[in-house]
Amino acid sequence: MEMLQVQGLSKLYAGKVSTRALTDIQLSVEQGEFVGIMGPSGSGKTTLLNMVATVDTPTSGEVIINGKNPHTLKKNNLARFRRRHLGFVFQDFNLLDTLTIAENIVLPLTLDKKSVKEMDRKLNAVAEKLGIVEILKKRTYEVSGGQQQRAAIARAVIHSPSLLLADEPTGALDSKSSRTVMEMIEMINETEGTTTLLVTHDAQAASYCHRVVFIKDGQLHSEIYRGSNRQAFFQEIIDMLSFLGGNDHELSSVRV
Amino acid sequence: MNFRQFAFNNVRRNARAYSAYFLSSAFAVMIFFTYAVFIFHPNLVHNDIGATTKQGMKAAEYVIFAFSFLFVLYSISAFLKVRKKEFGILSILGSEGKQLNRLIFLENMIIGSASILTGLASGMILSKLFLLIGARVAEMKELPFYLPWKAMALTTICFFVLFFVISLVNLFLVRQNRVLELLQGSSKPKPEPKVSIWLSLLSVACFVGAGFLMKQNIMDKSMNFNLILLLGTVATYFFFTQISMFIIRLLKKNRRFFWRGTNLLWVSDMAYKVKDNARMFFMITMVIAMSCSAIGMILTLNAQNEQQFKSNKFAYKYNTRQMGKWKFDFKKIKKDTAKIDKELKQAGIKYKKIRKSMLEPGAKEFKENTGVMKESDYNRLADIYDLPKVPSLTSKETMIMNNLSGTKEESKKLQKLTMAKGKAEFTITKQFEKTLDNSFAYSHIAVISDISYAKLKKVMPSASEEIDISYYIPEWLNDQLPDSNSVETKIGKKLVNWSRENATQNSIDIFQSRAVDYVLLKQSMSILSFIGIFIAAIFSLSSASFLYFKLYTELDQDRHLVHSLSRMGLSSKEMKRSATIQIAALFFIPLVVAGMETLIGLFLLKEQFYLGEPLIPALMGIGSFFTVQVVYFLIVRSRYLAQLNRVMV
Repeated sequence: MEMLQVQGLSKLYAGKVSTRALTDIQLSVEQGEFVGIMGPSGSGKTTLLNMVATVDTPTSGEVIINGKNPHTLKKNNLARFRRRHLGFVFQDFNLLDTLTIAENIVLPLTLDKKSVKEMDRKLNAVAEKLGIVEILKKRTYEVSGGQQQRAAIARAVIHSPSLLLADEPTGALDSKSSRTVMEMIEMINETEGTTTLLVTHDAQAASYCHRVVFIKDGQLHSEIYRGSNRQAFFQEIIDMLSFLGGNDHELSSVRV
Repeated sequence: MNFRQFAFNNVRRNARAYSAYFLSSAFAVMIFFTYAVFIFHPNLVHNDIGATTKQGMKAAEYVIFAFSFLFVLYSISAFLKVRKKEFGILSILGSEGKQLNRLIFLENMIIGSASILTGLASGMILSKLFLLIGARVAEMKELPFYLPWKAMALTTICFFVLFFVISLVNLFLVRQNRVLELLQGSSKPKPEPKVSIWLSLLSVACFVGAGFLMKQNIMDKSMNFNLILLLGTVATYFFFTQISMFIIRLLKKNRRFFWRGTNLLWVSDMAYKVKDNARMFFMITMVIAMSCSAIGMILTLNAQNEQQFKSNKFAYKYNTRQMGKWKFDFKKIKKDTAKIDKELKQAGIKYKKIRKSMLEPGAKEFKENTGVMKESDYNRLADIYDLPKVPSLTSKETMIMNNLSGTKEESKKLQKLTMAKGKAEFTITKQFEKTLDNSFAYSHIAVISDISYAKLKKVMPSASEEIDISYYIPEWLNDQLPDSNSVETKIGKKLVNWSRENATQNSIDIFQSRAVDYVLLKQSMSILSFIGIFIAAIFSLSSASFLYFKLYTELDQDRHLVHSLSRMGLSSKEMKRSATIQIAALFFIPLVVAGMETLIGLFLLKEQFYLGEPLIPALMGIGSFFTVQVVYFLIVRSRYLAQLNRVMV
């Protein structure tokens, strides 16, 4: 079943010099699929993600999530839609300093006014899964970046969203933490069957996906599927990136 | 670009961050200047009431200056905190400490000079208005506007020194930080505020202690009064720094409440915002509580003043007494009353003169002041006051008239009255309650027959006696309040002045006019409230602009936060709700605390000051602050929300 469908999506930024950020993008993602989006800087990856995340409106074309087009919703309903059906992971974590890790994780549920009992149950389950039980009572500045990102992932999936959107989740992390974080996202995808969309620069991170879609100059360029070997997939991604002609220095070095 | 240009551009381009700081400084300058214009007004020097007003204004001027200092210091340290990162970058680029100092110093002086100029300019406009209102309140002739060179010089010098000193103080604030700390700037997360249970308990104990002391008799010991102030201050301080944190912690513990909707967002943020602003909350609360109490007291005193006027049946009273070495000078009495009669006749006013004598032979049974009155005097007063008529008293009988405020139960049951050190005894036939306004100094008045009165005088020649001649003027009703232009006040004033000039060493005599007393008291109350309200208005306005300023310095952080929350599905309704609660808390917490302190204080003190019913006046005082604060709140809220709404997706 198709979970996400992007049809003929275009985005034009009007201005003195109008820029065409995306042109006629077609993309469909199956239920439970883990898809990566890659491309050189300025290729329009983040624009595409924002459109899927309903935080930006397309100039033309449609985004259909679970058979519904969220862009037709009113503003407050849209906010509710995001909070119930989508989960976000950001590059800079966006955890609130004033809250403990546990409070940060339950935030989407409190906004929906769930009962404390239910929140506790879900919190414990997700924290155990992500291995952050010991830090639940701590504050954001007391834990490492990797732990913060794991907390952010917990926050993104605690309400079992239909679609998990990750925007450069490893961008601010060292390689070891990056690996753990990606393993966590992969694990969530496998055990919960959460459809996941990942935007990244990092070929290492992208190699956890089932499929990687490449964008160049706002247009779909190509896509490659992962076989049984992640190492080989990683090499394929690297090759594709150098073929796309992104600047070499943007690519992370081979770490494995 | 040379260094001075760099500093100048910094100010110009950082306008948003600087504007609140600039505006509040300019505001302080404006108020200071306006007061100075009033104080240095050439017409005020020779005016009698003007002198008291000036004294009050001078005191107010000191207060304003002290407050401006703290206020500007506060604003600038908050402001520099935001710019820490900028200083960090400059240090890393290799600017020396000396250069950084010069930059901060120059910037401050640029803003200082600009705010002095702006303050003076807007003060010119305000002072016109101020002179108009001030003169009207003090019931003086209108004060013409003048070119206030002296006031301008004073303001400029004072504030120039202030900005200079503050700039220097700031250099120390910045220099203490290391480059790394500067670079991390205000984005560094703050640790959770700490609470001490002991200090919280101390605060509660202080509140209770102050309340307890207020119940005691504080009129006897001024020590107690100071102690109450001290306890109240300590209690309020720890209320904001400790108890408030404690309450927030309790709120957080209750997860049913805390983990619900936007509560999670604003409650957690509140701990930091309250902690950051605790000292300012404390200052504002103290000022508002004090001025509300003052307003409450003034309003109740005004009401009493009115009451006193309205219950006084006699427009004028001429009073003379003999005690100790002073004897009645009957010739002077005759001459003086003739003068009053003439004055009234000239004005074509009909009057009725009532003469009354009162003897003070001392009564064994009463501790309070007791006067003795002739039966014939009583009967004459009875007509005017609607007093119960008495069947003629025998030489051994007396009737007691008790003052309304506080007659002890046991004295009401008395059967006998012993006077003149046991030389005269009377049986009490009747007791009733009535305060005669022309002899309210007596708690009890014993009415006896004219013969007994004469005898009593003979038995006790040393007893002091007073005679008053009261003028009952049917034309002047006492249900309408006079002002300084009423005929009653004008004639009264003339006669009061005449009697003062005519006073001799050999006799005690006073001329009293109810209208003059009323008008004078009312005027001094108006002046006091005028000054008080002005100071309080400054404090509340400054606090509002300071809060606004604080909110703005944290705006970038808040915007970032709101942006990511809105991506996660925070609707704009929820954002508004949470932000409104936070801003409202900042604006109204001090007000609510101050209001409660005022009400409790006035209620506990009312019996001792005979304040009557302080609820309405106190509520009026608090209400006026509340109204003003609501206006600020709405303005700040709308501007703040507009900023946040821009980053909502």
